Amino acid sequence: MNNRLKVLRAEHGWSQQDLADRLEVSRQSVNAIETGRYDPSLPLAFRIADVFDLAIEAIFLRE
Amino acid sequence: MTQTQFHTMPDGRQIAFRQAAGRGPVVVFLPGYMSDMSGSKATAIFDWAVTEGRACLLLDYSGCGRSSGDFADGSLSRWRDEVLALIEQRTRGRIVLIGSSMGGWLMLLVGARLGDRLAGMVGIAAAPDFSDWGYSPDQKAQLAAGETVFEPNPYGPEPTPTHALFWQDAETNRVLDQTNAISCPVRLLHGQDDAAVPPDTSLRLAAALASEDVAVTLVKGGDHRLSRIGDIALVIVSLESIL
Repeated sequence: MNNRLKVLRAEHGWSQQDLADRLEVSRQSVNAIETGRYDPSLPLAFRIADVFDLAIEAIFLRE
Repeated sequence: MTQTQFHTMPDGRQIAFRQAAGRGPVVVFLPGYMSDMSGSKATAIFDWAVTEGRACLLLDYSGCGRSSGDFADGSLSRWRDEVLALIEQRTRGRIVLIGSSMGGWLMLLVGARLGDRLAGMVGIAAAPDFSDWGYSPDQKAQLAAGETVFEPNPYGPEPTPTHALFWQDAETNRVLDQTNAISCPVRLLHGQDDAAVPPDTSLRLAAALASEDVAVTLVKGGDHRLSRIGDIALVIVSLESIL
């Protein structure tokens, strides 16, 4: 699954650690999602959507 | 060139790395388990190297960060060989290794193969032999039987896997129950509030090194990440003290 996490994070001026702190996950988890190694659970995907105030489908895209 | 580049291993594996040119020794940062070169410590060390005109090399192990490969195929031996390949083909001269957590174990395995090129080592919450002390007897039995063990991740909701391949390889690479023929200066930093790796691991590691120039610094209030501003400053000072 593709995602726009890295771009959205950059637009907010956040480091991976900044976003990880907001999501209460490890920085490594943020890195793994951004690099496409790992698809987040649905609860985490909703948290990500909340942090950016966007719909999930505006962040995560079908291949 | 400080942007991410890719080194191709003989089997086609692509290893992501960043390199800063400068005077030696070359500072090589080794991340922890499931970590990568985008972390705050790696980034701070790289930025320091660029500012100071020092040579520096960061990398992502295969299966981590932007490197190719499956994490389930990862092992200390495999990642050690990736680090050695990058050092061999992308650097010249003497090397100082900085290892964070599992990277503090890997630095011993890499250092043992660098011979005279090894100029020093800095361990940050070094975690040698965690395949031994980090798992319960039941978990070890599962791993020995070829099963994957999942553990709660204290930093997030997603469990951290340990694959049998990694564990079995790690058990053959233990270092604490022997004297390791490392003769360079070594600095070991460890947070006293580290809940993942007991601080006495760094003391045990100090005792297991042949070098007589070894210092352990325990950091009050420091957690496993040792990433507070003061912690990172201490990492840099420790690094500078052996350059």
